[in-house]
Amino acid sequence: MKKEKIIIANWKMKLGLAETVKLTLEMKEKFRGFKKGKIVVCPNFISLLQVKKALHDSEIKMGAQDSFWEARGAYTGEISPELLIEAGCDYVIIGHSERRQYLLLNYEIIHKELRAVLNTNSLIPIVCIGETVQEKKDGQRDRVLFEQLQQALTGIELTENQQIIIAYEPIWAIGTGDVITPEEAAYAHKIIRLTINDMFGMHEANHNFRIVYGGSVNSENAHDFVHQENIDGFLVGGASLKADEFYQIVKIFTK
Amino acid sequence: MKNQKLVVANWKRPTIKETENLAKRVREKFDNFDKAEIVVCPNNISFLETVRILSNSPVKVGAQNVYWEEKNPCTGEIPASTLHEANCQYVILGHHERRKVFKENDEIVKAKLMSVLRVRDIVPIICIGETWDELKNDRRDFVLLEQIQNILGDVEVRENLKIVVNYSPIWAIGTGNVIDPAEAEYAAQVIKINLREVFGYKFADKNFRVIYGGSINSQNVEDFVGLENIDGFLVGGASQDPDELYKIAEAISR
Repeated sequence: MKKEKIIIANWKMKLGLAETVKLTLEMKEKFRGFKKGKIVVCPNFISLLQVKKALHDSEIKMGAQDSFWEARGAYTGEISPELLIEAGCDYVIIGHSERRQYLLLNYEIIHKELRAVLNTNSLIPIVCIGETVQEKKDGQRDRVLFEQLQQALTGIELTENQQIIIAYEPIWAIGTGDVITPEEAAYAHKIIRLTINDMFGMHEANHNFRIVYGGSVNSENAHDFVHQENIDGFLVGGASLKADEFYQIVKIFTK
Repeated sequence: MKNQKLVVANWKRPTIKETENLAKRVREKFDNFDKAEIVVCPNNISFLETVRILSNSPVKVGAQNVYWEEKNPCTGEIPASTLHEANCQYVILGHHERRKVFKENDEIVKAKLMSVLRVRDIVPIICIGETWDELKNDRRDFVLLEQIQNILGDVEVRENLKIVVNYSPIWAIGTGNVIDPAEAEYAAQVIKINLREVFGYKFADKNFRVIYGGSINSQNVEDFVGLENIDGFLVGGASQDPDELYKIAEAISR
């Protein structure tokens, strides 16, 4: 069985509120009737309800950029998975490298966030992993990916149809314009695939997991990734801020 | 002239639907209320809807957090410029829950403050307060002074700058330990003396308000009324009941 491809737009905090709605409407127009893959847009928290409204009657799904690890309790400024569902989210990004870097999020917390998300039984988590430039230089990539997956996923039990998306983001290739060679990305994805096979067994690994690549993907380089094994989609940052550019990427990748 | 009293409702995390109902009831309750300034802080998802419901009402809307950078993005965070676009008028900085769980320290709170002051029109509510150990070791005054200097030391004075300092003793929150009102007043006075020292007497009194946050409700609010240095409250749990919030606002504005 071939997996449905998935392309996720992470708008980060690069758009204001009006800009977010405008881009959502442009995307909706572009992807009208699009059936060749799953499209997800992840706006900022404040825009979620407006984006949901704008996406009425659209194939495009909505995701959040983060989620807190406890359903209840008082944590000023945080958003729980329950609120995300109430807002109409189907996906949520967990442990983005920027949050690991600037907010010192670690995989112990990412594991808790993942559990909280899976407990809702409806939100699909997008779990981010990837090595730093130093770890890459030191030849530590394989070990880092293995360790991050172990820490994030150990003890997780999935129900029949529960999905997890792993996003491989080499930190040195995010927002820097540095692009990984497609072969290198395919190699990293292979490591991830093998680790998941090992942890969950072939059947579950194939059935419940998708692995997407994130890191300076654009319409110029997207086609290099098309025929690589184990790359089930993209998590797109900067290039997702223009409807045209994003549409081109999707078109190339789902050809 | 005395600054108007301030009551800030930190709604933390009721559901979107609950928040909407809460905003509607607050609007009704505080229709034409002008004896104190009222601010409600909903979760970010409910923010625009809360602003809409409370438009043309005396009740203002604030945010529970903000990110410290504009340019260098961090997935999942909201910059001050976006809060501004959402018509946010206040923002809570360095809430003790965030200090504890997210290791938000004075340096981060300061960076957040600077990014808020850069967009203007949003009044920062800076949370400070001592831990149990610091209290027991008689270091409270020093801790408050240090936090004020760390966070506010470099702030440039300008005419219409408005800043709120919220004193929340960490040992008195969610622990069952209740602070003696005289002790809260003492801490607020220490804060004001420090602010006067950093910013000058006139500016500190005109542009700063010091509020108290820690398990305030309609039962205990009376004990905190009439204290010279307490200009209002940051209300947590009790603020999710509009009747409670109203009683608290009534009491402080007497």
